[in-house]
Amino acid sequence: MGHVYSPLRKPLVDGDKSMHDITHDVCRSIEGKPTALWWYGFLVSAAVLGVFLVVTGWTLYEGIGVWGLNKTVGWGFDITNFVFWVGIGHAGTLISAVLHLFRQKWRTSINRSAEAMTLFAVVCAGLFPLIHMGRLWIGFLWVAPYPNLRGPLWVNFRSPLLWDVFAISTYLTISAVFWYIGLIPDLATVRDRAKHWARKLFYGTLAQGWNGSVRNWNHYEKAYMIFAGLATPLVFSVHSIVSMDFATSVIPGWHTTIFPPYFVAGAIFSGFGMVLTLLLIARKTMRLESYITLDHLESMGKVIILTGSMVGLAYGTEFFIAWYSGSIYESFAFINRATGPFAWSYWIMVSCNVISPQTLWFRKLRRNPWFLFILSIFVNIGMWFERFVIIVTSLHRDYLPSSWSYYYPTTIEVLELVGSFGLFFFLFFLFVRVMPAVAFGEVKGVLKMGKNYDPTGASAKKHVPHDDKPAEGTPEVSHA
Amino acid sequence: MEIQTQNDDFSDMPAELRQEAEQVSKSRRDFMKVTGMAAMGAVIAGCTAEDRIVKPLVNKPEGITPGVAYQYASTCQGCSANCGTLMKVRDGRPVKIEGNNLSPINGKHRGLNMDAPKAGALCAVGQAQLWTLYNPDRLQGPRHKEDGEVEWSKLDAAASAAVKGGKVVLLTGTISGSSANAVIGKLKAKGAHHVSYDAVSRYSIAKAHADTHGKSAVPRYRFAEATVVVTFDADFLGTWISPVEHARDWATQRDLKFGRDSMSRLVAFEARMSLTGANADERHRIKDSERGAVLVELANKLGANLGAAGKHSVPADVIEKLADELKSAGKRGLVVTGSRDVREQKLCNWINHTLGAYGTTLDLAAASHQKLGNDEDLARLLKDMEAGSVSTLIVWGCNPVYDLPDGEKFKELMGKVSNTIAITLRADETASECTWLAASDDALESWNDFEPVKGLHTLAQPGVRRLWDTRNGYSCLLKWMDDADKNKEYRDVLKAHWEANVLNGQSWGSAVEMGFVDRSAANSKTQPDFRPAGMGDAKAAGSVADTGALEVTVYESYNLRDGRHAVNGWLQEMADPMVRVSWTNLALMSPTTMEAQGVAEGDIVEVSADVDGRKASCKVPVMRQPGQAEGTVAISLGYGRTKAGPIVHGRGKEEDAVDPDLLAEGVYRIGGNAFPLMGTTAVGGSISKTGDSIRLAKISKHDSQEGRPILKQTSLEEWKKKPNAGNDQELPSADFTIWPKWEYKGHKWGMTVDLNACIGCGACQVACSVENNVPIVGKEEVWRRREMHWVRIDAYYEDDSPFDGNLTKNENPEVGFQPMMCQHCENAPCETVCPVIATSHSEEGLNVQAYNRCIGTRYCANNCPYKVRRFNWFRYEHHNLTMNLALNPDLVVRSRGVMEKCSMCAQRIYEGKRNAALNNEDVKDGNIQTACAQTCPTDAIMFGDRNDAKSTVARLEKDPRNYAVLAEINTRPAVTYLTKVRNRPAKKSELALEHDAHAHEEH
Repeated sequence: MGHVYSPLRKPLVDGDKSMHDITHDVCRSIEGKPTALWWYGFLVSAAVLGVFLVVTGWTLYEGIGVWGLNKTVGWGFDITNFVFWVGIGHAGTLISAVLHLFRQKWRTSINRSAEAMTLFAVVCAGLFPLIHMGRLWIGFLWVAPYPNLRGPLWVNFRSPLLWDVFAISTYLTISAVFWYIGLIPDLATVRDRAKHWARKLFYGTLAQGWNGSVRNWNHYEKAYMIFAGLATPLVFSVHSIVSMDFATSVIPGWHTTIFPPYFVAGAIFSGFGMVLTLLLIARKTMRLESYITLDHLESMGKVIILTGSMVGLAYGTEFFIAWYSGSIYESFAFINRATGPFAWSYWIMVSCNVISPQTLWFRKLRRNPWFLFILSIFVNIGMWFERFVIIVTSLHRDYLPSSWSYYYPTTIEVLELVGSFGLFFFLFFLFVRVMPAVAFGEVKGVLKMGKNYDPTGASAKKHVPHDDKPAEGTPEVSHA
Repeated sequence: MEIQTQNDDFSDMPAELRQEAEQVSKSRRDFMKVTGMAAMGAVIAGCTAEDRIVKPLVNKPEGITPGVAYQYASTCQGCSANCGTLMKVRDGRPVKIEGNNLSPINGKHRGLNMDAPKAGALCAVGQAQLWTLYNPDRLQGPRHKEDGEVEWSKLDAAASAAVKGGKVVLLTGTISGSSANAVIGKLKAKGAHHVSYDAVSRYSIAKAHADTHGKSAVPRYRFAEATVVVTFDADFLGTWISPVEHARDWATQRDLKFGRDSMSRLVAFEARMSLTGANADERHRIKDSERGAVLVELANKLGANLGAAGKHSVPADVIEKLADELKSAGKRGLVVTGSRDVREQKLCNWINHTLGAYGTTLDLAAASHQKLGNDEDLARLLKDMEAGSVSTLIVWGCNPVYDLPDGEKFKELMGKVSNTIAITLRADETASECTWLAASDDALESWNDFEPVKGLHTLAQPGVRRLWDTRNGYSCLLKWMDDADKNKEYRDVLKAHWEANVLNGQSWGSAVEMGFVDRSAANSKTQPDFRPAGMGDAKAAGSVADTGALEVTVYESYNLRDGRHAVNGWLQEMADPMVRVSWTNLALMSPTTMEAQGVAEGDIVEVSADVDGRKASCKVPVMRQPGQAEGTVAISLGYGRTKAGPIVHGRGKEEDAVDPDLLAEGVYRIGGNAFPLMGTTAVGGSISKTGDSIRLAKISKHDSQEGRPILKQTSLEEWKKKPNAGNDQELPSADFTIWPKWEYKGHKWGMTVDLNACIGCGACQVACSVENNVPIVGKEEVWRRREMHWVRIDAYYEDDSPFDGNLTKNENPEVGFQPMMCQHCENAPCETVCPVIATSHSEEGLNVQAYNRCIGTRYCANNCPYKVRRFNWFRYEHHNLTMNLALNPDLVVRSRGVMEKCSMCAQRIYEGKRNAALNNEDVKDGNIQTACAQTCPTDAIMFGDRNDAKSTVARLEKDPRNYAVLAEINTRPAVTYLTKVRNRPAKKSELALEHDAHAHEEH
């Protein structure tokens, strides 16, 4: 009997795993031959990535005209995808950094993949502002404030697009470093288990001479805490800044002070939606049910219902303020959103983001992986449409009715959106194949091992069901 | 810019020099001289399609500085109104056509004493004439129908033989010039016949006057004299006879600036919504079949005793009131009609005569020569051709196979003529049926003369050495008839004729410099007497039976006119200003009629009718036109050309243009030919769906301003009571800004648009495109709403009926036009959002765009509340080297991925400032003109320095009508507008604007 269970808290890891079991379970997927399922997923996503590269190449070769934008609607799928992916990138940091600071131990089994997801989502997000530029080949340089010989020509610090450049690049850097630091102890374990010289060299280099000493752990814990502290404000700042692309403009429907908190809530909402989607897949395909338990799923469900309601409140507030402001342009923008030619997108957004998460008030549904999977897809769809609604419906009918128009996206734009998922999953499949997908160094820390712990795990092979109540044979502690 | 007196025809110089060079290879010295001059010629005429070696000048040619543009006076041949023009010629090629502001036809400063003309007003068609010149799709040399390219000598031999024997007929459009008619006279003296006709004929006017006044002529209309104008389907602001002249004249009576406080009245009766109707103070929708009845009733109310008029839908009190108005206007009243029915024209003549208007608002003594076509001659020619008695037909500058109502029959009849010769710019529908095609010079390559109104002789001179192996049409005729002058350049023939007959002692040089000689002072002032007997059966026009069938109205399109400009990309893309659908003509119907006919927008329908006993039809897409009379369908002429050359397709790429699949769709892509549907009287017809439909390339999709205070308007009464009527919106303080305020120490450029003067014609749009190298994008791209025009003309349809979601469904809406270009805001939303400062504010109040810095995020365009920024979605190719000669060398073409927009013609501002500095003086108001302001026939757009207290724009800032669009968002635009004032009783909404605004908020 190795594990000691609290009568008040359910264990965070199921299956009565020993430390060796955990190392083995996690490393198995990067040491053995990949499964057919992995190959399938990897190749499909690589193919979709290929489509992305082709259509994006075509866009760069021909011009932005291959998209359906026009003189009235200057942003469509491009910036919608950008904001969507940035939003997705929020949950990772929230789970790793914020929950770490709040000592939410349940995060340990999901934080690694959530962080990886953040990183890949930010990569996808960062691509869209680049390819949406009319002249990427000079634009990617000119948005950087580097010393140059162009006299007074410098970047425009008043432009929210420039703030984006800083916000996104900072976020990408911090997320990558934070993720990498967390990986070091696990990489060292993988190095130690490696048999081939190339693996030894690869993981050895990445592990940077980690030897598992107390001194190592001491430094590691401090650095991890510092980076968690650095990353936390970014969760709030990045999407606030992205929201200012819209909030600082003069266009009715964009020009709204509520945007920063509204966008952050939306980002966390969408991020958790995407984490749920990914983890439910990973849990099933990589047999990680013991590590990603129903309790994890339920916790995430609670975050979704909270943030979904916040987003719903924001939608309502926008309408109230539009009416209350007395501005004819403002009130028209919102009436047009709900009843105009793009009303279909508005109602998709409301049903997916506000109505569907309300089902999670039921505990049964919160603990039903299939239901959660479908819901998480709804949330992803709804949040993509939220950005579409904000961008396109505000632009297509603004101040002067003579310029009003409609926006018909082209196949190229749709393929670029689909293709960006290809990129995302391509990176994710690479990640689960190359890097330990669960932070097993940290998971071991939440195992609650007792005094008479047997590191070989030989005495703990008895099946211990953990569902709602402690297993048979564990000591009952009276509440009295 | 300087005015260059062109004493020598330099356009022909290189040719002469070449001959000279052949003769003088005697001495080294001569050789050097000739090569030096030839090099100069190469620079001056550096625009030939041939490969030539361009060498730097050894000696600067006298009077010409390379890189400096000179202006040469000429005459516009875009339509037969023959406005005066100034060609801006730089390095031997015309880069812009402007109006001649001293011309009695279109000059805005006629009567002012100026020693040299300056650039002035011209319509969109005139502005776009460069396209015709440089379009390589013209004939580049003489051709034979079967043998293809031939030598001139071969063609000349055949033509000379053909004009010698048998019945020779020369078929042309209106030819008014003195020298031109002298040449044709010589041909006639040899037994040939001359027949002239106008595709859009005004012969009914001449014919009516022949009967009622004994003079077969189209009078010269003087709208500047008229205080009450009534029009029955005469679109005099758009296309009728001399539109620039009429618009300019009419607008002088509508001006309420600087203390003027009276306005003329314009009342329109029409079936379709014309530009003139849209500008009318009062507009009544009548079918063509009701027009005669209304005229008869109006005449009756004015004292004619014509018996009861037939049925019509206009309330009796309207006509009663109108008659009273006309009576009190007396000789300053004017009634015009665009009818092809002579009887209706006679009724107009009677009314005008009764008012005493002859001599004031219309002048028959100094008549117009702008429409000289004679339909009776034409009918006689057709009969002769049918009988087979015509042996030689020379078709010159007209296209009867396309533009006669029964063009197909004409084509057949041409088969009966043994010799057919076309003097033509391109192998059009008629020329391609002729045996010989004599490639003619473009109007901008050749000498010509005109007499648009009696006594006013105008000259056209070449602005460029001829680009290809073409020839002046008069030279052709002289050569073929073996005249004594056959080997002379036509310029010399013309000069000799003018010296003998026109100049009357005045120097040839001054005539060339001014572009015209005005001998109208010698005109008789006495108007021919009215002959009551001539009225004949005119009153019968009042009882045309309304069959109840759908009535088909065809009209001349503003942009393509009678179809001769179908090849012109600028004009195709600008679209008819009333309809605003590019690259096609349409079956226009009111929303109610569309419902009744069960058709939807974009459906392609076949409109068929029996016209003068002939079955005719035309396939065109349907479009709704609020304000059109119920039970009518209107189709514009000029479209549906089948041999107009490769019409620019897609994104304006040449390879797209010749895509056979696209051309196979031709009938839908370029519209349908409506000439067969043109009848003398009302045409009853029907429409049937073809089952196809297309996406219409609409310039604008929404016609209501949604109760927003964008185009502000009021009535004359209200304005008189309260000078800021319609412009009394309360605005937040304009002082609040978080940025430091701009200080304008020197100039502060600004623009004011008088909405009362703007007729919505779109001349500014084309002028801007030509001046600023704005690309055209083609039908598909316009459908995607990506047209590049830097100025757009917003048209708002207004009445009190509620918004129905898309277009207004108004029964008889009022239309207001508002030119919308970059507003050059002081607090510009675009400037703050650009990440790389590609757009910023200049010290002189301009919002400037640095194309080279732009990285194309489109954020500026999104954040522009006026949506006036234009993005280069593709590489709008400029790979046709000949077409590129039309580009303005003063500014760049923009690459793809770059944002562009109105710069207030920055290049002109720099030039004006430079010229002022060279003369050591301050910039004078009016010396710098943007392309739009300059070409505006009605002076609706005014440009100037707001810091100069004497400037027009600065003075107008104090006008209570002055307002900025969207002032409530505090962008502080440099462009302001003056409230539109309509001369009619105030509407409810105008009495209580604030109340309405509240009602809308609660909506």
